[in-house]
Amino acid sequence: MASMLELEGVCKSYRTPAEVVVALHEVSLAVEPGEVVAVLGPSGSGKSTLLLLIGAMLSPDKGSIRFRGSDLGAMSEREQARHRRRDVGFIYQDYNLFPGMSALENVAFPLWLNRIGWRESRAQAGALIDRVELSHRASFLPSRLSGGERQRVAVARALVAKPSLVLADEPTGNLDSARGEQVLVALRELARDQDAAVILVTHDGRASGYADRAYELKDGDLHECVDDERLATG
Amino acid sequence: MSGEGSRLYRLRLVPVILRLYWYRLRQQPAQEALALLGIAVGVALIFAVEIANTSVPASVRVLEHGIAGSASLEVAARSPEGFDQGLVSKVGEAPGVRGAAGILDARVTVIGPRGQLPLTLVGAGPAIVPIGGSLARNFPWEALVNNVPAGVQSTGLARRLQDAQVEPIALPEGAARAVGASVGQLLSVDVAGRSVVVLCGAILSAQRVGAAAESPIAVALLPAAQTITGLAHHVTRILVLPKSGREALARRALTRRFGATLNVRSSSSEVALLEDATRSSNQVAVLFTVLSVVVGVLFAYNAMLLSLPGRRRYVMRLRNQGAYRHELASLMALEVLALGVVASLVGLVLGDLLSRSVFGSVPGYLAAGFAIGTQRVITPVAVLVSIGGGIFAAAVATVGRRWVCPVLCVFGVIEGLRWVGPLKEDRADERCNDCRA
Repeated sequence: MASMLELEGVCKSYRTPAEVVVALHEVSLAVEPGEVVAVLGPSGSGKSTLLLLIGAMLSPDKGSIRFRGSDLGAMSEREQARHRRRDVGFIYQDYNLFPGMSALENVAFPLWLNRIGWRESRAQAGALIDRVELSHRASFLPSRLSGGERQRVAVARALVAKPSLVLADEPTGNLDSARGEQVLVALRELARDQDAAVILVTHDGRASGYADRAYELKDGDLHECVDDERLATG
Repeated sequence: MSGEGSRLYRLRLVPVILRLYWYRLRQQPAQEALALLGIAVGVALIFAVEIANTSVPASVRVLEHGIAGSASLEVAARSPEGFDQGLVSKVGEAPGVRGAAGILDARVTVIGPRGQLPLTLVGAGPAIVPIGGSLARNFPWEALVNNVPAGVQSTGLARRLQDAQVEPIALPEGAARAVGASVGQLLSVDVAGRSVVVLCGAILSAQRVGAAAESPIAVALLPAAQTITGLAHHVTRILVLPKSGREALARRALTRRFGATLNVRSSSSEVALLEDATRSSNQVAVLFTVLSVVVGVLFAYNAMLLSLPGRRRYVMRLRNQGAYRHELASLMALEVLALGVVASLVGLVLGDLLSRSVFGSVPGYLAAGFAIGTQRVITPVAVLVSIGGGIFAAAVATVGRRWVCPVLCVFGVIEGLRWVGPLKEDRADERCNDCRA
């Protein structure tokens, strides 16, 4: 039976005036529902590119990415947008919050983009804001929130529409260790409760301790970490 | 949640788009206000020039049409002294002519308690009513028939006026305001080197005579005008109403009979003459209008450039969240419309003020030859051109980047419609130098 997400021989490179930078080279990966996968690697190793490709925000130069059997590269632009809208919750490293929306409105946004009523959207978003302990900041614009608070808003926004795939780019990057662990636990619980797959890319080795599998991305090549390596990095 | 194909789902796009626009406004209100101001300035320039451009001939047209009405021909003197008014009946008897009325026009200066004003004295009588326009029909002839105004009858002043044979005139309210005249007041009229005392017998309000209330004229009964000007039994032109379908016949007959010494011409020839005289300034006005559009677009474009990085990030975030192309297109259309319409309305108000304060004066060389009023004629075309210009500027500034940089820039502002942007915002600036704000 096919996996929820399958990457097969995926290559991606960026052309700059000076050189061609290979971000991913022949990357293959399969992720099952309810599974948490950590991708470790230093900055610039291609981790974010991997998430962009899975989120259909970039197209691979070579290889295929299948989500529930559908090739993302063969999808129309609208289908790719629908994939991002319905299936994927994205936690961005730099938050990507809307500056003109309050914390609550940012969290509610994916819901009312799906035409869920404003009140219901706010109610659902309010519940998640509670869960990330930001009720007292719900009406604040992102510019008035600390980095950690923005990160938690971004996490809440990624989860609010109950996606079947969560892509997290350095989800603990701006959090202290206690908050970071809370987020990782929440992501793990989400994977179990909603049978959702979670892919988190990070250079923080602690994250691998919350993952079912861990990979290391180095110079565009993806290697699965054996338990010894995970212990070493964790 | 209803399905994407459903009518309800499509209808719910409206509040979503409105809300998205509101959030974008809230994101950078100062830049949006600058863009609005830029477009408004351009619209104001266009509108003010349009008003100035159309008001001069239109004010003369309003006056001429108000007097002549359906009388499409006139027999006019070739000198200010005019000709014998006995010709009026002969013109009325010419083939193809249904009616004729004599008019005496003379340039005079009316002096009142608050100042003096050069005006055209128009002498006419009730005979003009059947063939004349709205001004002739609505004119209070009864106020001039008796040279004693209603307010001063049975008083000592009334007796003195009757004894002195002071002729009454009617002034439009604009002229009356300028010289400080009121009904029953004695005024002085300078004409052809002599001064005559007249009585202000009536003031023509806008409610009664419309836009002509701001025309630079004074009206008197024909005999009174002849007395004031010293041109007894003279008229300067005869308005001619041809019989239906017989205008050519009437023109030929009148030309044959009077063409040797008088001008037989269209009654709107004064307007045509003025349009000829203002043609060069019209060309300048057209050029200025074009420059105003360019200035408006440049103002708007530069102001929009200030908001471009924020706008680009906003579109990118929407795309990353899964917004569809039509949703982004709707958002941009709303942005163009809202910005264009609001900025245009502000521009119309500014343009109106500008036309009153800066472009309100009439060139002296035209004022000397034509009865050009101070009324500002705002045509629907001027309003539409101005609003259209404002929306055009907003559209160019909002979605026009692909036009500016169509080859090098893969991602214009409309990039949002095509762009499945990279996750990292700093990569938005890796595109082309021309697109960096």
